[in-house]
Amino acid sequence: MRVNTEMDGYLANAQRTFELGDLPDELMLEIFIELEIHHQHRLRRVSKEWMEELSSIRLQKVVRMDIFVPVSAFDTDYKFTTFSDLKSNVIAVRRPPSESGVRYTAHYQQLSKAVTPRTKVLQLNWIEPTENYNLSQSMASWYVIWSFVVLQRDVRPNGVNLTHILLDNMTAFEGLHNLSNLFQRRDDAEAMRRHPRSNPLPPKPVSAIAFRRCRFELIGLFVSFFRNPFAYQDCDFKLLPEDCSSWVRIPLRVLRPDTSARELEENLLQDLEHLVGDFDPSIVGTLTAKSNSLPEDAKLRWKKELKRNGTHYSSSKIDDIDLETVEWKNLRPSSLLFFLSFKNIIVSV
Amino acid sequence: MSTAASSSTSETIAEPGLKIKVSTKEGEVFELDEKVAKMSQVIRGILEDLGEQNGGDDSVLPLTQVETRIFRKILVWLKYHAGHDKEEAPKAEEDEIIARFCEEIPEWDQKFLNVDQAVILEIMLAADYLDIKKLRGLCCKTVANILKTKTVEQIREMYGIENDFTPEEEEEIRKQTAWCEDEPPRQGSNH
Repeated sequence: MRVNTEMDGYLANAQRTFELGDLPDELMLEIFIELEIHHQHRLRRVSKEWMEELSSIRLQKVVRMDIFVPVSAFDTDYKFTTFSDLKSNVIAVRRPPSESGVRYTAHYQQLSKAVTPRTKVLQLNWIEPTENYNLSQSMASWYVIWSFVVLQRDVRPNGVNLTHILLDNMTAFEGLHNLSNLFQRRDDAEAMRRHPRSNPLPPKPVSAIAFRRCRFELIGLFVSFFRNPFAYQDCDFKLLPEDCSSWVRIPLRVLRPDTSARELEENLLQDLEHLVGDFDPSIVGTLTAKSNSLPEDAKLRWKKELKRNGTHYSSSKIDDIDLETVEWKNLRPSSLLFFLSFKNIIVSV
Repeated sequence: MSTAASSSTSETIAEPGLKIKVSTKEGEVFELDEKVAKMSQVIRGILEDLGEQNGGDDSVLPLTQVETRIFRKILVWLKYHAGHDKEEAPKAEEDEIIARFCEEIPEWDQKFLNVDQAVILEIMLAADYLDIKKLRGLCCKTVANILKTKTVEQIREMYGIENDFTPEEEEEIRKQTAWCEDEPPRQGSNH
């Protein structure tokens, strides 16, 4: 009995030292498909054979790209005031002649050439020069990643078949909410209406979004993956609770279309709580004192949050919740973060 | 937990249960636990065919294109992963890519593949022949990671590849690919 009588025989000459050139084309392609596009193009100069293999249209199926937009070039002294101010503050990242704007434009042009209708998988690796991003820079970095994904998928006809999105080292500011929205964009009539000429065909549904080493700004709890990112725009937060580190990294998460917004939130909360750890017991006294001093409209906002996120209050009526009797120590860390960060109400509810 | 460096291969596996015999290119016979053997989709397929044809227990599956020294290495990998990996249904190609993205090369596998590049290539080829996708993918990723760190000139030297471009042709390619060769600075990235 033979295992395979029609073997290619490419193992037959293994007596001598084996070399890369001895591999069949299929395996060479499998190696090359692991490379980011700048490596694929760089290595075309190795030889004519490599040039031919690295020019294969089959490599277009997976596009991997490193992104370096130096967000440190702007707003290094940014101080948070309001969310709308924050948004307007980061728009400049896409505009040349700033260094970051030039980089953004170059990367976008590279992606536009690399992504074709054959492309099914897009991997973006965020390359960062620093770990100490402020909120503005964090949002800017996310803005770049998000816009690349949407521009390639939903705006350019070449990206119409992108179904798998891999994000490495991204920041999650306001991002996870938007990521989950990608799953619902197949019938996004509004997007089609906005770009009817550039995208006559709606993009295929996204099958999976994977992100690893995701850097998550804690304030993202309040503006990021909640169903409505502006649900808390009436609230003013002291962004980073003093007892917490400013960043946490979620090592890995794969989102599938059947992940509901609520499931997404819950999964991420579990990740965050695991990473953030327990708070000092003294915060219970802090919260009790804080709740006693709140104005009425702020108290109402706290009660709404308790009802939304507090297990014990989900079936309670807002008016029945008494902040003086809340057992803060029974709340989960993510809820505590909300109350710890809460500063005041900026718009009366 | 055993390590790649310390694991040794035995031709006879002591555990009870169904044993599968395979022979290498040199005719050396190895007796494998069924679970280990079936990590090769080729062996799994043959066993299923044999099962349907009432094949005898004494059959020896000839792996005529795999040398003993490479099969010994692969057997170490198979035995380790048979004991540590969950059995998974075959994935679509895109999901295979996602899985590879999600999993950095594990430390054990890094040690396992910390060998001469020629050996990695031979393991890759044998894994391809035996249809062991995970091992083949690990080898490809390892070689790709090596390529990322080398210049064009270093790669030519490393693999003995002749530069068959004229200077003019090479310059033309450089121009054609300039749009993409602007490599960003990397700090502490491990992918």
